[in-house]
Amino acid sequence: MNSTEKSGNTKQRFDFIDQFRGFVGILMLLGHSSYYFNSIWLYLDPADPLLPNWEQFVLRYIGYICAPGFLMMNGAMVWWTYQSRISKGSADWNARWHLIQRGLFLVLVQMTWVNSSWGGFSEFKPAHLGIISTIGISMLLLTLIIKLKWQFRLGIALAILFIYPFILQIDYNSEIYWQQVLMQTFIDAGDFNKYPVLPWFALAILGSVMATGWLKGWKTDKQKIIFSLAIGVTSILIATLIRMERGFGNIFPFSDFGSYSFFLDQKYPPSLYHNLWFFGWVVVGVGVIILINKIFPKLLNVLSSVGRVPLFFYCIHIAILGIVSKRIGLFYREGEVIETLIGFTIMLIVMLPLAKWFGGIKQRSKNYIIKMI
Amino acid sequence: MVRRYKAAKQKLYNQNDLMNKKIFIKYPGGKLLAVCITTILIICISGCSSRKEKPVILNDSTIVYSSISETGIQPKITLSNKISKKTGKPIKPGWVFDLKDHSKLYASVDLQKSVNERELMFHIDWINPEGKSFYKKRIDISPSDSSSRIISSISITPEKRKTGNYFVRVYLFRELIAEKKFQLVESTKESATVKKKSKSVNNIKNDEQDKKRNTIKAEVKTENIKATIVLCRKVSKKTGNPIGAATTFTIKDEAKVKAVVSIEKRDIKTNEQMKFYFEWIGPDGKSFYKKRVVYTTSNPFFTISNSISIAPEKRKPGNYKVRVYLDDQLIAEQKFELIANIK
Repeated sequence: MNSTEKSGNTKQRFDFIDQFRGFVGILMLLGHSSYYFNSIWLYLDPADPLLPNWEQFVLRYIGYICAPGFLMMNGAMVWWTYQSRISKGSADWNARWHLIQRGLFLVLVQMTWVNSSWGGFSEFKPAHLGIISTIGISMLLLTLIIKLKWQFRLGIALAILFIYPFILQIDYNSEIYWQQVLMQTFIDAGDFNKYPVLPWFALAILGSVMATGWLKGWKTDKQKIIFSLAIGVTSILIATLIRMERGFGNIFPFSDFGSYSFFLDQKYPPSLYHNLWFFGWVVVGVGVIILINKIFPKLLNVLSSVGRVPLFFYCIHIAILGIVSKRIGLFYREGEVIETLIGFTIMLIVMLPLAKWFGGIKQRSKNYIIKMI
Repeated sequence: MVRRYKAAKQKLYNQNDLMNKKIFIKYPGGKLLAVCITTILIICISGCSSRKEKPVILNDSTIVYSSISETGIQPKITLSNKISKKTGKPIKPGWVFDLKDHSKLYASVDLQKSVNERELMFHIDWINPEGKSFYKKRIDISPSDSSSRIISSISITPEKRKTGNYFVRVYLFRELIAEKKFQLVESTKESATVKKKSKSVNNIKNDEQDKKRNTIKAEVKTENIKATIVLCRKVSKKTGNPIGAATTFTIKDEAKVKAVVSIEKRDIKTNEQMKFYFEWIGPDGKSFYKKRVVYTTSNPFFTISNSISIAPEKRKPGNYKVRVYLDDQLIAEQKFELIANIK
């Protein structure tokens, strides 16, 4: 069993969940190092990416798994936290209220810390949303259906994913503020929010569905590995079929199977292909992590320290990059791939001990805010 | 007792080892899944690019990333101020253009394509001297479209653009397939106009004077050289492009300001030797560094550069200038500012 239960502390941790979150967190650090140090960002439009070579393609594409990974892991942990609290005798509303508070806290963190940290706190910019608030709002919505059986949750998620391409066609005027806020909070991507809740919420629900197997239904590691790989590969194959058919579920055209453009379908907001493809890779990733833990039990421990404090890791690394690179102007968008990798390595050297240190504090602390981070 | 303990421990190790091995052997379908994942990973890592990594530079200085496939598109970018309405072809192509009111710059991309089976997605992206994209156009060509040329244009009025080195890049399905450098320079309207002298019987006496004037006209040096200075922190070793182009720089240890001068000299002779010098002028108006550069080339378009240190012990904050001379004649000047590093 890939889980640890601390004596004297009733909170059960699942190492493979922490490790996968840590893995995604480190990939995200790589992507953000590129955002600050790589000169490609002088002209790269993330909504319509054009790439000069395969190194830059890999650097950009590697970060595509981060948002689906975080949404799904968050969905999984929402499900587990609710189940865990109920099994310990907590009232239904209390269990949900805990999750609602955390969801609201994430929206607040986005609007206060995260938005401003991108520019090194040179200005306070609360008037837009982002990935953290989308995770928060998804948590709020997930509390509404968290009690449902996994089959119903799966049905809701698939319904959202398959109906979403039609909803995306709703016309609105982004010049009118209320329309922009409403549409870009939930449906479309734009200046107000690049991560509209609806498609990402579907991935959070799928995370909660997978959690039913990972954290409860599949008793042995063998079962977890087999089911994860089977479900993941199936989803990747379905996504590939949707892409190859070039019609429904696609947004950007592509040239050939395996080309840059094959992989780079629209991310802001995500196409059906994008969501199924990365759902598959996240599930495969979790299966592979459980497998690696079986063979090399301590190999991935370093990822756990990041995965135990994902919000702290996210908030601090962007703040450091924002201040050092953008505000002070240290190598801000001056380098290319090599410079990005050097910046990433330095950031990793800084962030790993910080994450471990804060993990210890969080574990010992009873402070409400620290527990939330 | 100890021996029995060791034997038990060894047995446990063997069991663990066996269990690890069984992960691969016993899991039904495990090998198939491993093959599936490996295949997908191999496709992801190796099969992405449809273009060769090393570019080819065409005679017209278009940098082309050739297609791996023989039937792939081999584009050619031509820049011009005008496009023929009749033929659709660019008129008077070049790579140095004047900033003028109501003036436009067209990028015509000859695709030299074979028949396309499905829709092709192109992007033409215009990059300014700071390396930022300022205009991007997506063009989709359907299989039924017989056109083999795509065009994008930008305004090059002095209000909208500034002088410097620009790029236009062409992407096919998000992959860079060609790029071309060009320069925008200030409009030079110096034309050596010679007043026509009407020849009349009354002016026969002045024939000799007219001849003299004509002789002087022939000796007038026309403005046949254009030079543009781009200031930056350094130059990319790979691409030769300026990195960190700006007109304001922060004084720092080991920091430098580099002046990259793009020169167009249309009437260049074969292996012509030219003597340039850079003059760097401080806030007090005095020259603090001069550098002579002797350059030999037959290419009408070339680049020279020179840099100065802007370490705190060497420079003070203020407004500076760099001037470039060719044979003691000023051909370009650029102002810049050095500011203190506030920690």
